[in-house]
Amino acid sequence: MALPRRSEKPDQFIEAHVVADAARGSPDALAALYARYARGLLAVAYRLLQSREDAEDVVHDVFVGLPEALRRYEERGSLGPWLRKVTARVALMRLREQRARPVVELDEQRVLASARAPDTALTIEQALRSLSPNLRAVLVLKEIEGFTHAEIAAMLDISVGASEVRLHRALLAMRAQMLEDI
Amino acid sequence: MRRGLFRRRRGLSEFADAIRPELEAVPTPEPTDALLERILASRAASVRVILPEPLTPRPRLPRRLIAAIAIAAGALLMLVPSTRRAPSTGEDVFTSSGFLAREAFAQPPDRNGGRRFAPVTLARPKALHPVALELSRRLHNATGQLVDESVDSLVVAPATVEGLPAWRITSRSQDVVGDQHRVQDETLYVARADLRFLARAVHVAPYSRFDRINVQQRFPGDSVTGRMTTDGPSIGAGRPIARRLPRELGPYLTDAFAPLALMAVPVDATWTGNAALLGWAVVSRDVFVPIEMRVAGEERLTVPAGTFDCWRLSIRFAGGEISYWMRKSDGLGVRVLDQRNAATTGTRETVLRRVTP
Repeated sequence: MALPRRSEKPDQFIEAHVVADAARGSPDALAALYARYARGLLAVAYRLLQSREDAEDVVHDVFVGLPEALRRYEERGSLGPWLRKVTARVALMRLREQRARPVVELDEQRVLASARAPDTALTIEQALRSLSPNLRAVLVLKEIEGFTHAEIAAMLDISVGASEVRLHRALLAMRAQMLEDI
Repeated sequence: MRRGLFRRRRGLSEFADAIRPELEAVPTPEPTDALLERILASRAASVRVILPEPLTPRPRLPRRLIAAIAIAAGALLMLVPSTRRAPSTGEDVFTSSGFLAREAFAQPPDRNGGRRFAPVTLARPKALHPVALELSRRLHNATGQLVDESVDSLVVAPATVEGLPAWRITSRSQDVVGDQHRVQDETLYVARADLRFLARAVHVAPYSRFDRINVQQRFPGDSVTGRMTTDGPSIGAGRPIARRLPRELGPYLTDAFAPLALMAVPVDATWTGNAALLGWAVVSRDVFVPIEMRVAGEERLTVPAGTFDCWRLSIRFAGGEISYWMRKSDGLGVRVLDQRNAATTGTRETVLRRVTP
């Protein structure tokens, strides 16, 4: 079943001159775009990376690189979806870099989960966090962000079939996690 | 086979639909002014980032090619010995609350060792009779303040299960877990002849993210079988229950049966016995918990239902010890006091409020 896109105000609210000014590097225009889009982009990055710091770094990079990118931007009227795709790609690149340079961090959520009160059910956030990054990425992009498997496949450089399989596995793993908690 | 595959996919799709609102509601950070300042500072410092282009989706592989690959992969799988991943043991979860002690299942069960006493013998099954009980459950916090009070009920009535004379024991208990006010209903059928379990149903509403969870159990031979399902949202066919209940670790008690079980046991000042509390048996961590009982004293006890001469029992779980008072006259449970977490979460007490023959 195709998911409806998350509702966003039409991009015409961002006047063309704001985009043009941002493309020229205007701080005010960049700030206007930040006010309009940063919340959604931060959410995409956070859902993929599960770290506020990493998500903020991604949004930082997106907005720092935005003026130059806007000079190539031609998809008039769909700035929001375009920005979400760009942000998702930057976040996925960061995810790949992290896997190439693994660091050992104190997984606070895991510590909390193991120490939680006996009757406190595993939250869906913890179940999502427990997925491998590959599976989580597809689940987030498909079920929350509403991308198609074709778009996800392009972002992750995998086949459409692989994207479908990963979503299937992610849902199975989520269901198993959540049922195991019952 | 194709129909089965389709059903599984549909079930997963329903699951995805069910969790999507929760997934979307998972909190995400809010953008801050500090981040905007950092961005503008980076721009001012001539930091530049080359952003990737959103990629154009690749065309799908032709279905025939996918089918050919699938056939080849299937043939390969037939040649490679299969491996089976060990199922999750669910060691960090438990599910059941209990008349005797709701935290019992949070403790690691010591299933093999430590059984100092002989199994409890339900030697007087005919002692059980129709009765209706009201029990008052009170929770005091660590400072002694009453923070929750509820009235539970328990009814024993005659029934027949597949032609076998039985007792139907129904209990309703209410509890506050976190910020949820929960109602747990249990119906247990036991054979009148020997009080062995025949069937059991437990419903808890709400439970975690579900409006209701349902546990249906049967007791063929030395096992418990059945199924766990949920409502609102439904998880479809749910999870099967199939666990062995070793006879040597019995007899088994449930929340509903616990206040009544010792009516069938001759108890004196030196009495001891081992039994086990049966859980929902959905996950391995929650099948049963052995308990050890011994008479620790005798007291004349006054509760809302009256004043009774009682045996005071010490009941030991893997995780601690609670006190239990039973009437000397008929073995009926009169009071349960759980002070294991008195200094932290508080004291739980259940007392007999009314008995209606």
